[in-house]
Amino acid sequence: MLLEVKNLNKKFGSVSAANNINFKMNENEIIGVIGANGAGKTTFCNIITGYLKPDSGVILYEGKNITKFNVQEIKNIGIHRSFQIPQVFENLGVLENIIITELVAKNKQNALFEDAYSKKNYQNAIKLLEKFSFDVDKFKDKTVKELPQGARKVLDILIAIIGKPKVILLDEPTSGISTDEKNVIMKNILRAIKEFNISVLFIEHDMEIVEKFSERVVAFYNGEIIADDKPSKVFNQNNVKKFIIGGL
Amino acid sequence: MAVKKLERYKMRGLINKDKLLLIAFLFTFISFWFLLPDYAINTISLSFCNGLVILGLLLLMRAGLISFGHGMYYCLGGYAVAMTYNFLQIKEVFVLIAFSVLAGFIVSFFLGFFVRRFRGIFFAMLNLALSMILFGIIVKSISLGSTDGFGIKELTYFNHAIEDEKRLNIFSYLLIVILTSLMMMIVMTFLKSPSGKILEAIRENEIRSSYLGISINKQIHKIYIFSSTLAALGGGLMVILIGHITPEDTAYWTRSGEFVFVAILSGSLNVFAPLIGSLFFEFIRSYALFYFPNTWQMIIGVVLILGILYLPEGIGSIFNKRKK
Repeated sequence: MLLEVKNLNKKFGSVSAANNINFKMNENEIIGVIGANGAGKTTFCNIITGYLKPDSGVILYEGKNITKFNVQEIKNIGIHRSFQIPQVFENLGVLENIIITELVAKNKQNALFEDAYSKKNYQNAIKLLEKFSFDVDKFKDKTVKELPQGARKVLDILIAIIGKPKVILLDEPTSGISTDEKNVIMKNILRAIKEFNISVLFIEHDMEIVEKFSERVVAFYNGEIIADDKPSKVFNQNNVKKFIIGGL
Repeated sequence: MAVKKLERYKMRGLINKDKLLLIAFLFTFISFWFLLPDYAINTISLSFCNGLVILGLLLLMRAGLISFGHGMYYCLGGYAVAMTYNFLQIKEVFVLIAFSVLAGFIVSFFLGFFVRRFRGIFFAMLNLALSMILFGIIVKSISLGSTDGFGIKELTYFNHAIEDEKRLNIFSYLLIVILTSLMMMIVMTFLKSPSGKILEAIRENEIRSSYLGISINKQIHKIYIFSSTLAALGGGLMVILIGHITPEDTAYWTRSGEFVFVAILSGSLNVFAPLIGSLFFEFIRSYALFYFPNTWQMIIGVVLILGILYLPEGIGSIFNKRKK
């Protein structure tokens, strides 16, 4: 078992954002997380990545209790994430974003006697972007704030993948992206992720994407997991139809 | 032959355009000793002492922080020199400078644990508060010289007494220019290194930086110590140059405000900007005081407005192009 969550609870005042959550994730699994707004998906993601501390419950990673780990410690053991609103270095160039991420991944954040933006580092960054089918020629000389939403999303996910995590949490990887681009982006991302043997947990509102790309689906409602099974089975459950995807 | 050697160094990355520019900067200012009148040399020397504080502020600005209380470290560095001279009877300049650097380092190391948790205006104001506490302590302590401060007299350089009685002699000038250039070189190397680039990441997005695994507080602590030590060195050199220090000229909030003013005017694009900005400010102030003795502050205000309007990224943007 790679990741296990037991009896997880989190309240914000009187609102229960996580209510007795139990969850297991195996190696190389791709899990889609669905739920209406406010169902507790992002809170779940924030708790696993150490951004929020649970009121009670335990998180185990490869059998080790990581419940009290902070964001940096969680990252260092191999759990990375991307964000619903891309969290990138807006005023820096695309390549500089990648270079900084790579330097940190190589544990060089305290290095003093080398040029961070060396030719070699730029070349490595370009290679990496090409590997993820990022339109390097079009965007390499731009700052992140000049990028279209789709490219920003991909960059955010790429930043999360650098350092080869064992688990990656993608928070709405296709939100704000046109329908045509969604499939291409997901395909490219998951192809690259598979290459690195990374387990994926992705939050998504587009049911087509979830059905197409996930091996298992976890459905949230009011801070609880109401379904956890193969996509075809989850989408046929009455409570999922009623509270999340409609049609009942 | 020399050109070939230079090419070889360039190939190894030991010398680049910025370093060559810095060497040119050093030799230009050394040559000024022989070319410019005393008042100009004095203004340059004082600008460089203050410029070291601005250089420290540049480091903080790279991490998206500003301190309204860096005068505290300027004061600490100056008092370290003056008190070591008066209480320990040490006259050797290099030992006195070492004491000023040590004072800045030790105090910022301990205060850093406290201030590193704050950001934005809270960080700025907290430093201002600490600076005013130091000001209050000195003003109310007779043993610390109270409002009169301390003075120093003759100094020695490597145990060699200087016959020139003037405070501003070729030795003090060279000391200031060479130490300032050395600090610029260190800061330049630091800013180009991964360690320096991490500061830009923190400034741009603290959340993403945390998720990359960067320990934000530790990085801010590190840069706070570096920045404060530079300010203390500036204070120490200022006392060697002027021969006197008072709390009002160093730790009082108006002095810190002046440093912030020049830091904004200079911008944080490169290491030359703080020194050029500081020089520019001192000359503007001197001329404004001379020609408009009653309204010189207005002239300074107009200069800042023009700077913000036409050079929003500071004086450094004049000779800094974005490198791809």
